Formats: sequence, C-alpha cells, structure tokens
Amino acid sequence: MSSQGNEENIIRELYERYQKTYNDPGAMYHQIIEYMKPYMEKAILMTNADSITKAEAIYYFGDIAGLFFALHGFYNYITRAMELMESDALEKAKKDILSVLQEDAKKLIELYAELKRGRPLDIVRHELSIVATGLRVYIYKTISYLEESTNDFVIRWIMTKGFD
Amino acid sequence: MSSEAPEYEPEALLNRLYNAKTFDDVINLINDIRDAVFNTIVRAKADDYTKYGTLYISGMVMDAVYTLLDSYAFARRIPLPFSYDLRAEIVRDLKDIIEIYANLRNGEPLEGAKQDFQTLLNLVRNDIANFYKNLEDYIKELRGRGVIGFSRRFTEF
Repeated sequence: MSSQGNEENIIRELYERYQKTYNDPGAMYHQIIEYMKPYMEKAILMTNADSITKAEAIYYFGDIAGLFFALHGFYNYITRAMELMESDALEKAKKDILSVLQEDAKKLIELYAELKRGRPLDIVRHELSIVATGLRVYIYKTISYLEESTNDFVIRWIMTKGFD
Repeated sequence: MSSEAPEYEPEALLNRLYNAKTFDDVINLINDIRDAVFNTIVRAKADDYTKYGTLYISGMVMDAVYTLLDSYAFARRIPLPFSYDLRAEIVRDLKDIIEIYANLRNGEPLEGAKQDFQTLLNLVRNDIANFYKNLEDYIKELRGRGVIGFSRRFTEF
C-alpha cells in the first residue's frame, strides 16, 4: 500500500474511533489521543520545519494530551459527585467538558490530516498552542465549577445542620 | 530567554521555590522551569525520537502540576481540611522537576530524564486523583455526620 493510502487509512481510523467514543472522555483519550501519538509525532518530525518549531509542536501536543487526560479525570469525578449532591454547576461542567473534548478531539484529527496534506508546521504548531491554551483555561473553569458546587453544598449543609 | 540565564540555575530555581509567598510567585516559577526544561531538552544530544518523546512527556508533567496548583488554590479558598498536604505535594513535585533539570544540565542522558519524567507524571496524576478522592470522601462525610471547619480565607501560597 502506498504511503498516502496508509495515511488516509489512519485518518479514517481516527474518525471511526471518534464516532465510537465521542460520548466517553476516557475512551476518547485512550482510543484517539494515545493512538494518534506516534503518528502525530512522526508527521511532525517528517516536516521540513526547523527543530525548534518541531520541538514546540510536539511539546504542545504533549500539553494537550496531559490536559485531555486531566479533563477526563474531572469528568469522572463530577459523575461521581453528582450522585452525592445536586448542583447546576456540576451539570454544566460535565456537559461542557464533554463538548470541549469532543471539539478538540475532532480538531486534533483535522490537524493531523492537514499536516499530512502539507500544511506548514508553523501554522499547525500555532493551532496546537491555541487548543492547549483553551484546554488549560477550561481546566481552571472546571475547578471553579467544582469550587462553586462544593461551596453551595457546604453552605446548604450548614443551613440544614447548624454549626453545632 | 536562554536557559543559561542566572535565574535558570537549578539552585536559583530551588531558592525561588522555597521562598515562594504567593500563587503568582509559584506560577512564574513554573513558567520559568518549563522554559528551562524545554531549552535544555532541545539542546541535548540524543536521537529525535528520544528528544521529542521527552518533550512530549515534560509537557504532560508541567500541565499536571498546573492542574494540581489550581486544585490547591480551590482547596484553600473553601478551605478544605487536607489542603496543606497538597501544598507539600506541589513543592515536592516542583523540586523533583528541578532535580531532573539539574541532572540533565550535568550531562545525564536524555533517556534517563524521559524515564524520570514518566515516573513523576504518574506521581503527580496520583496526587490529583487523591485530592479529588479526598474531596469526594469529605462530601460523603458531611452527608453522613457533623464534622466541619471552615471560616478562614487564604491568599498566600
């Protein structure tokens, strides 16, 4: 099989994996991000970009993988916490995490496909940095939701039980 | 900025860690450690896959530490009873990163640093998971019986 045919297979496989896992952040991480890692690294290394651009692109991809993993952990925590307390903030956080991860998983597949089709690495690196920054901001936002829900829960608890 | 700058010396980074007073101090320190580690890995003598694999894992480690710091800030604002453990974990994790960086500067092969970052990544992820397990247990405890203590507000690290 030609190299281009193989690349198209990888891209198709990634989209199929997305279709199978898009409602499960943990599965998206394992089935898409981890699966994509060696292909993305190879695609970055095979470009004609300078070594710093390659290094930054891979660093941002690592950034994204780490943040994706963290958000999937938060999603699991929120799912468990929602069994313990009713909270609009938790419901919103859970819905938002899923939506953000779906969007970014698709974006990463697109970026890989664009890179393989010859899009310059400095542009892809910039796109990766934007995805990483967005996820980083969203981690902060998720923790704010957790804080709000915990605070509400504790206040409600005090109002019910008092300080004794 | 070059990692040869005096403020990027491992000893200087450790001093800043031990003397950090505010969250801004810690965030600035983490940013500088990240730059120093990045520049050192890029300049290291190793094959491309080792070099870029190390960069990838170091990116994951730095983000895990940021997440831990965000969680600690949250724990102090409420504040939760186990927040002080989290502070110690953040200091330990940053100290470990500085140590890996110092070893790299002293000529340790990049493959060794990559393994060290992987080990550290697992530790930091455990710290994060433990924090949220503690939070879950705390909420369960409140639901079950009456032990609570919160009235203080913190701004310093």
